[in-house]
Amino acid sequence: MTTTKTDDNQVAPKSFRIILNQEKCIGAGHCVTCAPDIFGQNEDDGVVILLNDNPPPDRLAAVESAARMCPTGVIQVTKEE
Amino acid sequence: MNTATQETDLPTFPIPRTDLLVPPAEYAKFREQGPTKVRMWDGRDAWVFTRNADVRELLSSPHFSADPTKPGYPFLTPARAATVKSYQTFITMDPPDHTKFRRMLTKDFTVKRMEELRPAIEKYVDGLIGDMIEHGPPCDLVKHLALKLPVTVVSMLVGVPYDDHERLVKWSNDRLDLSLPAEVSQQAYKHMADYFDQVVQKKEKDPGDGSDMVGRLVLEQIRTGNCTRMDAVHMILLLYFAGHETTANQIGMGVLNFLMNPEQCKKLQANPELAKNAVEEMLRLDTPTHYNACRAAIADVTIGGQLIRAGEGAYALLIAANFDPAVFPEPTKFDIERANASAQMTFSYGLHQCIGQPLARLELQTVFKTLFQRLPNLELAVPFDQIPFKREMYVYGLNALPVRW
Repeated sequence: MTTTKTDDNQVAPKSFRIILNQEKCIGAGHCVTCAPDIFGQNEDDGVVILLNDNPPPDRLAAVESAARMCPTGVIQVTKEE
Repeated sequence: MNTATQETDLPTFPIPRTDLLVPPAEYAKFREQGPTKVRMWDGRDAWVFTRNADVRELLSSPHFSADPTKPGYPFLTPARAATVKSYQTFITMDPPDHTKFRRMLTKDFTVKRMEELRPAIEKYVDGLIGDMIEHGPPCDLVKHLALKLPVTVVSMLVGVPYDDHERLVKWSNDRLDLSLPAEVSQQAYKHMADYFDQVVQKKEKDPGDGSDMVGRLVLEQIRTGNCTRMDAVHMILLLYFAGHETTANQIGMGVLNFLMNPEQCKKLQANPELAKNAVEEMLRLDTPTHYNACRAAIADVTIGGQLIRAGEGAYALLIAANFDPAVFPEPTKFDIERANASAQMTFSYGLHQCIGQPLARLELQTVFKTLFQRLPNLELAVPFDQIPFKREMYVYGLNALPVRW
């Protein structure tokens, strides 16, 4: 999927996928604070769960923020080309 | 086994703080050099990392161990070396044990759990400020708020009576005092362990429905054989100890930051929503965890361009990372609107990042949203040079903060 320009000359957000490496998760919860609509925590041990496996493109910045804040690199973001 | 080269003229470490408010000037020199070798009190060497990027790289690396029994693990002082004889908890473990034990407690610190606790924390803070007002000026803010709040909260969390806190806090202080002999630190730890052993034993006889932390550990972890009673005792002890000391120090130093920077105080008063970012900025500037973090290399690895061999010790200095001008321009400036304040490293990084950080943030944010609204004319009741700083403690902070309004 290629980027398209909208009327006000802005690049439309790319769609993206999130891959989680839950084994590394320490339950810090930064991701939930950054994007509570996308990330949740398992009731038993606080490990991250993906609430939305088809995130809207306009949530990319929030998800990339979550990926940066994660202390153990659990979140991988793959942008569609 | 690595035999330390007997290099002369290595800088000694730790470096005592001469300036009370900013880290030792030597860290800036080290930062320019990159990874720096230092000589410890016991004649051993260690690497000190001060660049923000290097500290992150090291703490993310699987080639470093948090286990003090590993060869080369560095100790600041004889008292710190004595900690290796204490029972280990997940703070000094590597995976897979670290993962197993830490995950027994993470459900108490989820974002959702913090939101459930928020009303109680707000109530405590309002009550404590009300008590301060009733007491009248002058008043020691450390005693009445900075220490009292986290002790109240952590006592509630682990289910111990608040009234037991005086001896628990005294033992904690003995444990953290770098100037005391090792035996004092060990004895203090033993007292705390005996105390929490009684707490857990009582719960084992009657765990209730397991809705409280210790009851839940009894039902879900001890009785199932996932952990022993001693494991549980030492984990609770760790939470009590880490859960009050650090937060208390940050509250005290945070208030002092505002008292010394009136324009920042006015900004906060005009917009209490700035409290959230202000908390990140004060964590950065004050870094109570000023001697964290230590590790031992368990494989040869290159960090910040320097080859570190297996069996060498390292300090990934959080406080130096917090003052790295490459990441935080004008690092000594207290700027509550600093755009990247949340990149602060006081809670550390990697898999040992502080388990209590959501609770610490909740307490700090509540204090700083409220305190200057209710006490807008808060000021120091003594000259700055009469404020007692914890110069020889493993965790930095204030022993007292006399204020008036």
